[in-house]
Amino acid sequence: MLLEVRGLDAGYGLAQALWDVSLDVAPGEVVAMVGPNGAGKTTLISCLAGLLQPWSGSVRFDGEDITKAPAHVRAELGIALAPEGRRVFPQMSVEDNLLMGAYNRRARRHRSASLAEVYERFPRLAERRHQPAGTLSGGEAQMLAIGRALMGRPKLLLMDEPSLGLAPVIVETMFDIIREISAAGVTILIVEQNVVDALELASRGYVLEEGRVVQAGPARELLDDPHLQRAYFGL
Amino acid sequence: MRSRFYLVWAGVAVASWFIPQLVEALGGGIFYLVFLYGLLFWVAQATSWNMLSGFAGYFSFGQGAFFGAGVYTTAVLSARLGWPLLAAMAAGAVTAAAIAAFMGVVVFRLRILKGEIFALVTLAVAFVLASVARLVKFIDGGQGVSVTSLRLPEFFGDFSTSVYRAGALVAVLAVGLAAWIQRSRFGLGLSGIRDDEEVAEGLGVPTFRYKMIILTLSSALSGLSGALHALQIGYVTVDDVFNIRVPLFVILMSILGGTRHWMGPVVGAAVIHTLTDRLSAFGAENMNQIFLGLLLVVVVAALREGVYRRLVARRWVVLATFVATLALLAVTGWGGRLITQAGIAFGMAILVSLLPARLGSPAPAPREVT
Amino acid sequence: MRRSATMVMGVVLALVLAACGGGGGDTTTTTGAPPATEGTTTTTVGGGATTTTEAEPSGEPIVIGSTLSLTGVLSATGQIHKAVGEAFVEKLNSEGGLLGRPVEWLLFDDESTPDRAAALYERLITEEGVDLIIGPYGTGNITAAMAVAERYGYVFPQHTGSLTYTYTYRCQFPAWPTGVRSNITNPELVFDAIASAGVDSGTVAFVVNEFPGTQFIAYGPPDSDEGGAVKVAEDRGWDVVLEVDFPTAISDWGPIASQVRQADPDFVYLAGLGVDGPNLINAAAALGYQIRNMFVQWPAPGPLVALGEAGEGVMSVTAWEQHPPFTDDPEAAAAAEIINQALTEAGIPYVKAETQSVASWTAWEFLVEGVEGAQSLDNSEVCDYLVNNTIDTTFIGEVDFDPNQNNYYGDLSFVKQIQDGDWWVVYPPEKAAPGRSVEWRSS
Repeated sequence: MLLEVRGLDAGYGLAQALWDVSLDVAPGEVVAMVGPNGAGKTTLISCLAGLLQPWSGSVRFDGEDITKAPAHVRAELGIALAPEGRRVFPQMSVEDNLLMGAYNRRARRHRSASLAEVYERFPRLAERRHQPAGTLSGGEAQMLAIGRALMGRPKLLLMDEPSLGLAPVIVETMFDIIREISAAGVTILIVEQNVVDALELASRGYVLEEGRVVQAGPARELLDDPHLQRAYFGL
Repeated sequence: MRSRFYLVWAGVAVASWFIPQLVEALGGGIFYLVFLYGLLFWVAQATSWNMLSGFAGYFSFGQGAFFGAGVYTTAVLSARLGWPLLAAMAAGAVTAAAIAAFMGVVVFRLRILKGEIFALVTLAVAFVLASVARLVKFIDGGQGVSVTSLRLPEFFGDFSTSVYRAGALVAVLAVGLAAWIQRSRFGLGLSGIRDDEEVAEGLGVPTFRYKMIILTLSSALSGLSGALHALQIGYVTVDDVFNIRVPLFVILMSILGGTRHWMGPVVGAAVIHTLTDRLSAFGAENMNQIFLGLLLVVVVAALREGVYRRLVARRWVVLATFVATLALLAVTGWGGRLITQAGIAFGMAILVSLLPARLGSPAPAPREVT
Repeated sequence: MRRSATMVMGVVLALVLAACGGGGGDTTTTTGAPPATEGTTTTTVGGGATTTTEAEPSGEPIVIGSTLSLTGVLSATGQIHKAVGEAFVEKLNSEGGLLGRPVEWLLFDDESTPDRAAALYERLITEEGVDLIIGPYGTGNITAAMAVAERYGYVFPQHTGSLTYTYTYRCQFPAWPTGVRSNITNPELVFDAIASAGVDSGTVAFVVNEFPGTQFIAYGPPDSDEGGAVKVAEDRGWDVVLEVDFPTAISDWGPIASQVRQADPDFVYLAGLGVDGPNLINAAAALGYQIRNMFVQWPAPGPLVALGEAGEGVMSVTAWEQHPPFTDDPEAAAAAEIINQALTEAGIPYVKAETQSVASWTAWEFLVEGVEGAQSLDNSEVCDYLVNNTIDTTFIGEVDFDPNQNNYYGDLSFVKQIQDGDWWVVYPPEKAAPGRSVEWRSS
């Protein structure tokens, strides 16, 4: 397994947000963690990225225990986070944002090549490379967040709600892009409210409700699950 | 590229060393050195503040704490305990850095202490230091510390020259360091911290370490500059050292000049020091606050990127205004001394740079991001 | 987010600035201090004398530079020094000036802050190129300005500096005749005076301004255990029931007054200055408490008298008061009248000559004596002359600066008290106003 999470409890202050969460991501997979707003998805992503220390449980990456490792160490190891769309560095130019993505030492060596690749993948970003990132549209900002994560040459890409606040047309484009990235060999853990699109993209899925994993399995099966259909698709 | 950078800054340092000779050759009085020292003092302080608050985005009201730690450490160690001056000055920088490091370890571990809360914490540190200085008899005990007999090594020149030269070295060190940071990987990381600290951390920026480094560095520079300033003050009192002047002025200068470029605080310090100095020479000290307040409102409201960007964008117009105004004043003799005339010309140039695009001459397109 | 935070910070700063701007004139005084004067005044009085027989001064004017606290917490007394200085310069010019040349006084406002004073003295010396300087008002300002004077080797006569032990500069000449150990000699004198009323001990409260000079008087120099007024009181067997410090720019006297009421001492030693006295008395009165006996170290003289009944009995120290036996010297009496007129014209409420105005006058006399004696404007020559010669002054007699005592010449203070609505010297008896002695209210 590339990522092994076991028995994760976590929260903010005294409020617990995750109970006994376990999950696996194998190399090359796209795994979707779906669930409604407030289920604890962002808490989970923060724990995995190292921005939040779990109360208990363990996180292993590439065979190494990284439960206590701070975020910048995880970035060196090859975990990259594409946070919610608006979280780009607003005052920095698009290009500086991308260069920030190659901040860790491992990725830094390849940053010219990475930059060229990202511009090839996202021509819009190339057009706007000297513009402050704060002036980008929602879709562009999301592209930038993803491009920036790719600059880190990640082994595992953590994506937090890539479709949040985007127009439906753009959501389509976004998921196509994620598919392409996956096809290029990047392992992806995607956390989404948009259950259908996420599961259609993923090979496996987990359902998070009120901080607990309530269901897990191949994405196809989850899409056909009557409980999920009732809860999320209104069928 | 690297070596050229060092060469340039070494050149600036050497050149500033010989300014006193130049002033003398041109028939200028000691006052020019006194004025320049004041300017360089503010350049060093504002640059120090901007490293932390501009580059890394941690807005501090506590510049007075680090400045004051430098002043008092030097004054007490040298005047009361008889330490050699240079050792006492070094101790001033170290003490300021140590206080900052201690504060940083506490504050940066607690994630809630960001933004406005961080600013208030720094203010509180300044208050605490002021009280400690006031209460501890050995430090000040309410009677101030006289440091009249201290002198820098002889090769620095007579008193005013020596203070100017040391001030120039400190300022060059501070500004050179800021310029180096801005173009370094470290500086890029700091920008990330300023814009979105969590994301920066997630991308591999060791945020805690970087914040500690920049806080310590910034306060060490502030302390060093304060250590030297103890000599210039001569008589050190709690009310003067820990008053609102230093923290307020460094903020004003940096915001006025622009907090995102190392030249911002330098330009801001030049504008504000020249303005206050000339107003004070005219006995219009009371006007200072009015001018500064207006300037601040204009800049914050209309010119967030700071004056420096405008100066660069309109450099030829600005230069022409400066030269034309100075020439006019020199011919008519209006304004009195050369330093006042230069101050007025400088002020005019700044004003032109601030004019809205429609009123000003067509500005060349900015080189950088607008 | 960040943007709006910057905006908020900006607005806050603007407000702070506005507050600072207003702060200058917004002192805590309860006096009828005259309106704040504009920053700079240049007093040029070129002859036009009334009673002189000497030649009109001629030639290039001699410029004497100084600052005074014309605004800020020390302005109530600073205004006195301005009026007296102007009167002195006018008189000097009417009597032929200095070395036959007219004298011009270039005066800046230091806003009662030492760093401003130091910066302005540096400007006076380096930019304005003044020929001579004279000290500002207030210990902090004087001490800061003295550092600059020493840096540039200027003769520095000063009227009111009280950190006596730090004044090691050879060319500083104090006109405040307290002696170098005023932290001991002054309190000793005060308690001697009280003893003269038959009171040898009791309870005493020390209320101490965080001003450098009053800290020194109360506690002594920081790097010795010599002590000051508090130690003197204890050594004499007084019971110190309260010791409280307050900031110079204090705005709320309620808590201090409340502590004093709580302690209810026989005697309050207020190591304060300016209008601290009336402020404390008023705050106590607001609590329904009357302080029985009080001493104030360096008050502005007028406000305490203006309190009327509430000010009765307050004591202080002085070098000179405008009543016999001091006015028995006709020269001094005449100079005092000039001071009366100057203070009246300046709109100062209390116009009698007393220790502040006399110190001011004396400092100017030092400068004039030094220059005329040395027949030179060279500061080192003037300094040498003053150090090496006996200097005759109008109010405090002949003065021999003693370099071993930081140029002090003994403590020439006397104790004065407000009785029947005015100040009278009451101790020692040979200097007391006819028929006056210390009055003491017992509990």
